[in-house]
Amino acid sequence: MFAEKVIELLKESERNPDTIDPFKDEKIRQILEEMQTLFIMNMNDANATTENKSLWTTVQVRHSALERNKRCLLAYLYSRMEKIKTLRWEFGSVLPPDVRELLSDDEYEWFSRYSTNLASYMRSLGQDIGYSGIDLTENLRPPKALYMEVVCTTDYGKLELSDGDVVMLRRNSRHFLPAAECQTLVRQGVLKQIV
Amino acid sequence: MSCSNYLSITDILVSHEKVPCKFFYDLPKMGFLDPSAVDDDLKAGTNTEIPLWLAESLHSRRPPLLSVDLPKIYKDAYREILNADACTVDLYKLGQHFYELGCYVAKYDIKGDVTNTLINTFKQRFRMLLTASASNDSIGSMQPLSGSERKFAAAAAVTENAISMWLQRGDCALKTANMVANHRKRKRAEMEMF
Amino acid sequence: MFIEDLRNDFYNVLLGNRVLLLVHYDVDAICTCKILQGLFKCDNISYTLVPVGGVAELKTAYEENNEEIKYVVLVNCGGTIDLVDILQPEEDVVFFVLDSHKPTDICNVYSDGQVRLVYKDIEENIPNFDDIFREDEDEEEEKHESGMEALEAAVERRREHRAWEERRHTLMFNYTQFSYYGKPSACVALELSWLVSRCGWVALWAGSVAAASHVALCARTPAQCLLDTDALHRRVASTQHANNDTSCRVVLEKDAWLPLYRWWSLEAALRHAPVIAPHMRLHTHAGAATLRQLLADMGFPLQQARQSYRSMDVELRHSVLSSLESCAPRHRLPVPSQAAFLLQRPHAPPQSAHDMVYAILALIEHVSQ
Repeated sequence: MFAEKVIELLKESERNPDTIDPFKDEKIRQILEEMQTLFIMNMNDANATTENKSLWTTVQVRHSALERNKRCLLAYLYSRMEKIKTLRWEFGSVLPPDVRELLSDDEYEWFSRYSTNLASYMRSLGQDIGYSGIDLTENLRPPKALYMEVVCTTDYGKLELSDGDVVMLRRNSRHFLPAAECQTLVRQGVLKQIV
Repeated sequence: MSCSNYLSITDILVSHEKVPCKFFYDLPKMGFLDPSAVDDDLKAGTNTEIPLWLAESLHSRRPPLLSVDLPKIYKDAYREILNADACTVDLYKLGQHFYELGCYVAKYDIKGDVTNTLINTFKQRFRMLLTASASNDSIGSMQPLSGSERKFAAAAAVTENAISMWLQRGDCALKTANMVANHRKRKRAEMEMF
Repeated sequence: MFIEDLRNDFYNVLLGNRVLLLVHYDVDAICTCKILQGLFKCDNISYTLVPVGGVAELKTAYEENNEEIKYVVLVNCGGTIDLVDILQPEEDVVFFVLDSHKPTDICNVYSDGQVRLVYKDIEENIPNFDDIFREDEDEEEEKHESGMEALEAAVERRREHRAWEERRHTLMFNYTQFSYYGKPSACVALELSWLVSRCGWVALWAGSVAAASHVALCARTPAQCLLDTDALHRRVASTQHANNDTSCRVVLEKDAWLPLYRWWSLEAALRHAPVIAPHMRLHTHAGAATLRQLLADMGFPLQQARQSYRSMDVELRHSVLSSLESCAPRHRLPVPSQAAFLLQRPHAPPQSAHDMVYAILALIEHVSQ
């Protein structure tokens, strides 16, 4: 049956809407091969239509199958693109290596270009009034207090604060730090806020 | 309901469902479309089930190559059951994409009853959605809901949780980002498997 | 050295700087830490909190966290050891020690500003500086004299030196031979919070739990406990006049000295009370009968006394204290009631500070993953 493999691809990616799967390079190649075969068969049959009018319907069917494959592939790549966009906002501009290997090379290049775009946009905000840009990825929720109490969940190492102080972040150590410094780390899961 | 967005994955999965149709023309070399056919060619007049996407695209050619019939869950027998009491029907078993497929199929219904049935069913099942979103026994109450109903119920549960937390604490603690947390969980699960 | 002015020399120094809080694992330290945390949060003082269990842990905690930290506050730890010697800090690091363990180490007392003790206990007999430390001037003077006088002078000086050393030895022996507890650190922290006008019911409750812990664990004699909590009584009395119906209040009431009787059944509480059980020999064979006799004298049906306290009749609950007091002389028990701190919360049963002490102890000792 036509277009079965693409559907499998899509079903797998729908199963985990919250994380991104590794890029299924092999499967995509197979699908492209299938499309190529269909196209060649269609070409042959289209040329043969002049003699046998009934082959025209077959050409229609194969053409629909080709369009269907194309649509599914595009949808797969688009959904991955949306997920990669979220990755930038959640993980920050540097991806940890185990996330990096889930993306294909082209996807990673897209990610870096998106990051650059975002950075130049953020820098340009408020330039007419004299600010050197606003970081949009922090304070995604309205902040409630200047300082917050956090406990560290992993051995992160040294964290340098903006006034030069160095804090040693070890597993299960508790700190009371300015919210602006800790926010990115809380979003990345290194620190956990205590209420 | 899902909009017919070209890139929407839900839409693609919906149009993968099979619908019964009848071919008007011969389709040489397409015998494999009908699992009960003997030879390579599909004869005109065969009744078989093909995926919706193929049916739609073949139906829209001029002249149309086939005519689409209603799938059995949208036919009279089931419509009677749904109009009587829609809450007892397990829509997940019947058809995961009940509403979306119904929207597509309603075009081919001459009498226009399918549309009314769809609207009625949703109205009756709305309360089930609300209970599923508020209840603690989430697996049991989500079981009879169709795919899109489950999504609505899950979203409702998330919103309700958020507002009750906000009312209690007056302010929300920062949380780890969604994708980061799920990524870590998956990694841990994978590592435990080895 | 000792700090004279809690507010200016201790709290105002910490404002605007980052602090390392090292806290010991006991009820008093936890209560003090709670009060200090409240104060730091109000004034946005960044801190790093590390619990320590012993001298080795103190060392590791200090070494891990001492980058760029100028002020270290030690709660219930570090008072009895020579801090500068053990931790080897840099020159400009200042230690504030709030320790209820006594005797305080001499080097900490006479340190020249690096180690500052937050509270001075009057009952400690700290030896004078001159009696302990003495500069060695002997070698210098010998060169200037010569002859017989020099020899005599030298002998005289050595005798004097030996006498001084013996005196020092006795003084130090007397000073360090016993170790005991001083005033609870939480009471000092409570004074501090009063001085900066941030003494709410949370701080009062923490102070009362710490005071109750010293009573419950018999860390101090009852007379001394009463003196310690003198300031606490005054504060609680002053807040009792404030008419605030909706929030929690700390009150001082006469309460039966049965730990956790509000959460267990009355019979279980009587069986485990340190005031009652040993006196009535409840551990012997005849103990069960004695207990039933006591309950009968108090007028409590056995079945009610065996249920959970909350499900007893209301009149019985109210009469626990009075009936216990009236029966006590008959069974030759000591006075089973005391003045205790209770936390009255809206829509919840009152909590006794004693019960909190045992609960916190259980949590400290429970090792969980």
